[in-house]
Amino acid sequence: MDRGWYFRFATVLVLVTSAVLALWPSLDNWIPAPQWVKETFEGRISPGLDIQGGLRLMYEVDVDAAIENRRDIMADRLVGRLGYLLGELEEDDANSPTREQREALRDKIDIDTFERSDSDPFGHMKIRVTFTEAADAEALTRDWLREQSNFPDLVETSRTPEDGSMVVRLEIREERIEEVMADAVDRAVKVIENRTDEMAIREMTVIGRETDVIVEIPGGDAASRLVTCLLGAASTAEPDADGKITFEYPRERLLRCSGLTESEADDALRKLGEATYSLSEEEQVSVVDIEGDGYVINDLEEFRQQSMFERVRTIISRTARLEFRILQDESQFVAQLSDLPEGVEKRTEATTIAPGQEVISTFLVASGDNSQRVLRDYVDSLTVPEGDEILLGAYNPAEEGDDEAEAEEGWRTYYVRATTEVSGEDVKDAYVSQDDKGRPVVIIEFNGDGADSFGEMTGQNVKRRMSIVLDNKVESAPVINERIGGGVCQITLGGYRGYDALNREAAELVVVLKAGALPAPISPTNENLVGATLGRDSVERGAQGALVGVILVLVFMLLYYQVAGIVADTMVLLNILFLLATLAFFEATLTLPGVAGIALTIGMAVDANVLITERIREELRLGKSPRSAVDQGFRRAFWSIFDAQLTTFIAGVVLYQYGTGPIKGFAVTLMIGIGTSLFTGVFCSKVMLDWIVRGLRVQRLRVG
Amino acid sequence: MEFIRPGIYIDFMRHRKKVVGVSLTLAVLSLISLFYPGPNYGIDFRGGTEVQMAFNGEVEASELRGTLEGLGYVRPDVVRVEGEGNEYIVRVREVTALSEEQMEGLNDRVSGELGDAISVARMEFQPRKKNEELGNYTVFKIVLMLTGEVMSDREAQAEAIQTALENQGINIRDVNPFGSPAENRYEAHLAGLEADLVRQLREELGDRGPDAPTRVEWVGPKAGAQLRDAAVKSLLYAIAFIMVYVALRFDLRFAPGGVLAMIHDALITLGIYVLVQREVNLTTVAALLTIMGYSINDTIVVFDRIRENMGRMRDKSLTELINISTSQMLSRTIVTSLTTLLSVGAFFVWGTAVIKDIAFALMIGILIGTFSSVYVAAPVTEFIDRRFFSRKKS
Repeated sequence: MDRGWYFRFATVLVLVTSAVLALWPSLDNWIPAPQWVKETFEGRISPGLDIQGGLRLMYEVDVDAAIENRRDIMADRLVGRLGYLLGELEEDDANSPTREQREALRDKIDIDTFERSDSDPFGHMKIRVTFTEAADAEALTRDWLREQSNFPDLVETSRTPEDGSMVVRLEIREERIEEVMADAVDRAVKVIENRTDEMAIREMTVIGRETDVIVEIPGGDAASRLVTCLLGAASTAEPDADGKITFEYPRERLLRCSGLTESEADDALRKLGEATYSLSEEEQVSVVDIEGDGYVINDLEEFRQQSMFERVRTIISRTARLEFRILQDESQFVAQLSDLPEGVEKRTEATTIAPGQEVISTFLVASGDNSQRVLRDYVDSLTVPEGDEILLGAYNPAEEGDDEAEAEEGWRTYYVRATTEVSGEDVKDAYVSQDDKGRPVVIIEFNGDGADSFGEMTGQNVKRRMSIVLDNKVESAPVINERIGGGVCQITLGGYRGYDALNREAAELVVVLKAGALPAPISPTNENLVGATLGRDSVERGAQGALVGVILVLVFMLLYYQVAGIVADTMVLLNILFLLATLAFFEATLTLPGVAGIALTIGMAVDANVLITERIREELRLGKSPRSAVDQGFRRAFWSIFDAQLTTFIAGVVLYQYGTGPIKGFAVTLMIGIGTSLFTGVFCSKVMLDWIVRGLRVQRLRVG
Repeated sequence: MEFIRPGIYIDFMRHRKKVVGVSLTLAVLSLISLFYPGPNYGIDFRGGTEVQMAFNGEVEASELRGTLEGLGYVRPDVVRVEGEGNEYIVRVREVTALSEEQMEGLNDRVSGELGDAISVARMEFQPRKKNEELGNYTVFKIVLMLTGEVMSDREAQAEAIQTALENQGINIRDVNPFGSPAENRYEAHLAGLEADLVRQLREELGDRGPDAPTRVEWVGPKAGAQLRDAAVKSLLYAIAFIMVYVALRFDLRFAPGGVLAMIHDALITLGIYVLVQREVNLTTVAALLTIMGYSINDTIVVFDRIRENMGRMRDKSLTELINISTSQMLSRTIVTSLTTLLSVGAFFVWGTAVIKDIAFALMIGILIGTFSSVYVAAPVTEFIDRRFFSRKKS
């Protein structure tokens, strides 16, 4: 044997060893893997919903909010369009009047919107237009509304004179409402799909129905399942003063709830403990097993984070509406407030509102566990001047600069303009970075439109403060030093949170900003851990079928090709090993369509060997020696195999690129399978055949 | 062991007209079958009813599925809720439905039933999805908004509505007031399906049977328009890229044949699926993709041999080359098809439900794929060569 062969043989040996090790943790239930193997190769094949089940979450989409949103957009456009109708605005300005033009129009037209309430269940669909001069209302006709550039979705419900002025009431058309509702659910489904794609969770299913969205997350490691069950049990227990929750949960109920075996549960419980014991005593989050059935959760939030389900859930339910608003620091509204409720205090800060013009502005703060609600309730009770709004943001009551300490929870107010200048719809990309203090920040890049309006907003408001609002909470309020062109913006996450929490928050933010905002808030309505959709029995019988199939193939190849059959059989087995190991390495989710992909690649692996063996047969028939027959056989068969596999691979790449959900899963298995079958068929089998014809120096190669 | 004598020469192309005719007929029939009678779409594609219920005794998922199938429900989804009770989520294709006539003017008729002082201001049918084949609409609940002198006792009003609807021949499970009293909004859930389901299951399972369902809902399709569009788009791109690769690597003449064979195989498999009225679901999509992968793989190997022989036997016509190459490859074609059939066959014999379906599709696909490499890909290539490239050759 030459040196080249030894080198190739060593390559195969190393790869086989790594593949076995990489696959081992996935087989832990049957053949326990040593600890170091599990630590080195963390990836496991996780069975999909159809094979193992998973977590099923139901959300209700707040379609009323979506309708209200749509109504608000129309109400906003109505100002400009009516201004143009009355000859107050040029056509160019009709769709985007400036703030000054809006102010000027308010003398002639006043537009009010309402909220849904008990007394007015359809309030969120209504708009009231008050024309100061009744005669102006004449111009607003049914035909005008119906024009495509105006408001075909609105319908007039009444027109009443009110001391000299005229009040016209408009409402969204009934058929349009159903469309808006269906559209909100469809978009919610799409956004949730995008988010889970960003998180690289494969094989999730997201289904829309009426106003609900059902999300099914496959598999889930033992820890995720345990956390879900323990959280359920903990929800009935009262936390003590430190937020520590102590409760009991009989082991057999835990096993039933999680669907785990005794040893799986023990293993996962130990791991949950270890993950948290590494922290110092008081930070320790987790489960302390008292005589089998007792549990203590020190920090509920940290405990949640131990479960993949919980992480997914946080990301799914975020609305992620990003807005940029300008602060009204010159307003004295907050400064004039008196009779503050207990726990709410006034603070002042010096800010500039124009180059060289500094004012002292006042804001409210509250701190402590309930501070957000206290402040929120108080702010809601205020009558804020029209066009302005008070928003809350997290606030660190400790002095600035002390970044290390995780301070007490605190909230403050921001006095801002009610109009959103730029929104997150135009975000092109987002990623986590660090500011000069090493704290995590999120950088966002706008697309063309977004960059333009962001540049315009910052240009018009130099030296003022801009608030970055996420889901109605102010994250930060930096001063605009100059016009920001180029469409890149940095979001500093506000508040009292510690480094880890900020980091996690930043990573979450990136996912949701890239995937887009939900069209309306969603709220969870129901959740279950569910078993395999296929059923355990079907899975077992399927596995039996697969096993019998492989054995039949192996026996047939052995009978038909004899010695070459041994080679082919070895390659089929190696191919299965490599394929599964690669799937484990990439933490792929294995579903039934994936199994179909594997069946196909096994067929292709066999085909490669058949092609080679048939060629060797042909060469032997021509009277060549085994050595040259093997060499010629490989040389000639190589390109057929290569072309055939590459063509199929192209299909795989395209399916992966453009497909969704199950199609993507299939494509992944297919591509990996082609790679491994090409490797085993062309490389490994050559090593083995070379050994037979050169190492063993067989005089006659029996190929059947 | 040898199935095929080495050096054999079979004149495959002599019968090509007849065989291509058969193949074309099959393809056309399959295409027609997609519209009439049309595929038997599963829950994945058309949604259905979801019922969550707790059983009074131990029931296995497989047993429950078997029972449901025995009762005539086609391919029900049975999902165990992991937890302490014997709770299951059952999804069936059947839905409660109303005909166009029942819905037309129901508003006025119910208003009439409720008396002169009350009228129905608005009536919504949800989800109001049209079932093309049955000509009716899936309706899961009817939302009514009343005006006029509505009863202050909301429960009594709900009962009155239920009677009014039932007098119109609509089976109602319950009517509930919804939202705030001022809204005068009532929701009526249609009955029928889940009541039958529970009753039938109780009859079959006896003491272990289920209680009244905890949740009944209409579910939309898992694979909606979005997935269909993505699938179609990715297939078109895949076809385009494969054609480009084959054209560059082999010859322009080969490209259409390979792709046509691939489409041919998927189409006929689907046709047979429709013929035996097996349910088409997401798994079927995966099976079709697999078949297309197998088909193109198989075809390329035959093409490769034709190309190789082209270089060596310059005096032979393309028809002869195809015959020689196909004959040379026959042994391989048979062995590969046989081994793949063996493994898929085992799936078919041992597998249950969805696994059996997927194995069935793959078996058909492999058989047709083997045949199409010889009788679709090659004749098309020969035809294109004769029709468009013959002058160049001379």
